[in-house]
Amino acid sequence: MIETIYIESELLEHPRARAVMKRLPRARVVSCDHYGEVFNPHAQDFRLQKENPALLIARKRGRMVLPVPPGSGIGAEQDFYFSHLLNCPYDCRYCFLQGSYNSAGLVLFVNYEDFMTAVDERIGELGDGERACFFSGYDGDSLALDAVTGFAGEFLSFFEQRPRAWLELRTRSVNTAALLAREPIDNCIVAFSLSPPAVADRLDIGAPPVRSRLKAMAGLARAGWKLGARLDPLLFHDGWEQGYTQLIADLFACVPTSSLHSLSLGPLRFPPKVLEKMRRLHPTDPLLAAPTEEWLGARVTPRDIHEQMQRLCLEALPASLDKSRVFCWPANEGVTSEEQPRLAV
Amino acid sequence: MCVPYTCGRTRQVPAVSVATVNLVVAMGCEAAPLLRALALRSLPVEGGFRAWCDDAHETFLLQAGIGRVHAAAGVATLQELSGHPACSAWLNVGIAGHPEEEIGRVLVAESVHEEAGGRVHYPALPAGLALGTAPLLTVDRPSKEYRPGFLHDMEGSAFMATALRYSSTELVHCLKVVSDNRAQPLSTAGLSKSRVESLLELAVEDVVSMVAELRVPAEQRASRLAPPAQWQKLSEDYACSVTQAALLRRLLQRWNALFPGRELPEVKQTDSARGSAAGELLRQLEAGLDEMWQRDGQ
Ligand code: SF4
Repeated sequence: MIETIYIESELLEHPRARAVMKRLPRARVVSCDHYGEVFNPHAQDFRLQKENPALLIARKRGRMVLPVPPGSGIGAEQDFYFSHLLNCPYDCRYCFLQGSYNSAGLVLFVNYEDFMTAVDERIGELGDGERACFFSGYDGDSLALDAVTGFAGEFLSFFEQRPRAWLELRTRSVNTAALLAREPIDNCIVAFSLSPPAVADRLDIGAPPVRSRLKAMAGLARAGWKLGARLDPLLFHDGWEQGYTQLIADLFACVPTSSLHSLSLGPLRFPPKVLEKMRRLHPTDPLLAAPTEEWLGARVTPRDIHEQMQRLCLEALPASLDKSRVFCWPANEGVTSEEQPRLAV
Repeated sequence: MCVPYTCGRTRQVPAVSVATVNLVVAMGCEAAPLLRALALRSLPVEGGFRAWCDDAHETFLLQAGIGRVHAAAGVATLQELSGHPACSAWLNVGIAGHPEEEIGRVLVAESVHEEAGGRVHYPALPAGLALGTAPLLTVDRPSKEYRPGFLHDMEGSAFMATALRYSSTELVHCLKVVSDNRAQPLSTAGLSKSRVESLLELAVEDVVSMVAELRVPAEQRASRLAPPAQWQKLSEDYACSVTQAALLRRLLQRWNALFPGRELPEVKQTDSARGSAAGELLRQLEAGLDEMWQRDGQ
């Protein structure tokens, strides 16, 4: 439960900010000039804050929409991300956000219209016939706080009018109410991050169990939404072969291949400084303590191990799944089979 | 640990625990009810301060004097006195004016503003805090002018700024008892000692429970930041530089996380000079960790 809301004083009367505060009537409200005064100072303990994160209501300034790192696309010609939310109410042990920010506070940028304007500018720059994918879950989970933020409802209505732009909602939550309450739109991909339950139960702290996510996917598929499955990161653990084989079987038992827009696979990877910080935050965690290799400037699960896991997953995919919908990180790396999936469209 | 006597000699006292709760007050009459409630005994201290701690050396209290300079110096002194635990919780307790709040009300600062310098701190309030909160304005002179909605004191901002150099925003707080308001402003003579003491009596229970509540996260942080058991000895034996000692600490933590209870790999002696012996230790430990993980850590 959110006990404290920090709000930039200029937003006290902002209608969206007021709606958010109304949804959290028991939280104390503390005003500040700029959210950075609360979020950025160094003398903060991310782990302690994670037990009771505050909500920071702010206005996003500067660059609203940014290009995604290369090799992370899911089939559009151009890929961007925007973050209405920094941080996440869940606490996945491998989440790179904990090494990225000083604070575990949940920053909600309520000037959605400015994000929309920036999305329109990017769409305006597309070449003939080009499409762009806009990822909304880079700096937090797209739907985990949707009941508070109302993000999905507002952005679905916006993207519905812009068929050249895809919206990816990426989540480990099962907060699909806003989607099920309306007709599906063709250019939204609701992408669920999945790991074998044995490892997710241990590492996806606070997130709904994998079987609930699969159930949510099944419900969305029945309602006609396009889905994404993100086996990213692939987590190396005891029994990973059985774990991933079963996960893929369970996924396709819940979701018909026709509903799956894309499936992506990627190694556990961190910017080197982020990994160092995460190791300091979790000094006894074996997942983070394990050796890594440098790969494309990141610290990554040793490649031989990752490639074994990736190969097993690719082989476990049903034959009915069009391989052009399978994407590996980094694009064009690590896939050896003849039936090589198209890694970028 | 060595505590300096006022004459400059030192005496041995038992080692303090890794996480302490350190309280700072301005006046003796603010300290008195807390000393009784927390069962604190006097400690010798230099610099015109008075200080106390409990038998277990887990809770310390320092009377710093009135104003920002005294508060900052008091925090620094108490940090030294309490044995430098990096994970202390800090609590500034005292009286404060508030234009609207009832006299005797106990409030925790949700933000701390310095009138002179304009800086602001936002303490991360403890989970489940039952007490009310208010912004706190630290001023340099007592005044009958109140900023609406704010607590007013003379130490809070300096206390925060200094304590945050040693700790973390979740562990540094100001707890204030309202001593005057618009309806009953301070007289020019201020408040008598006995009046201050009776106001602080009203806060004692809240202070005691906040001390207990802050100790929990302080200890969590302390156990997370504690160096591995082997670290001190190895870094001394190999004369590690500061950077090498930091690397060694991380390697040992990783080793313990991956292979709990397992002996470190044997480090083969080389003929190298001492400086590079530390480098060799790090290299061999890292290689040993990789090798062991490849072999049976997976
Ligand atoms: S759900 Fe995503 S953003 Fe949230 S903690 Fe897990 S990895 Fe991080």
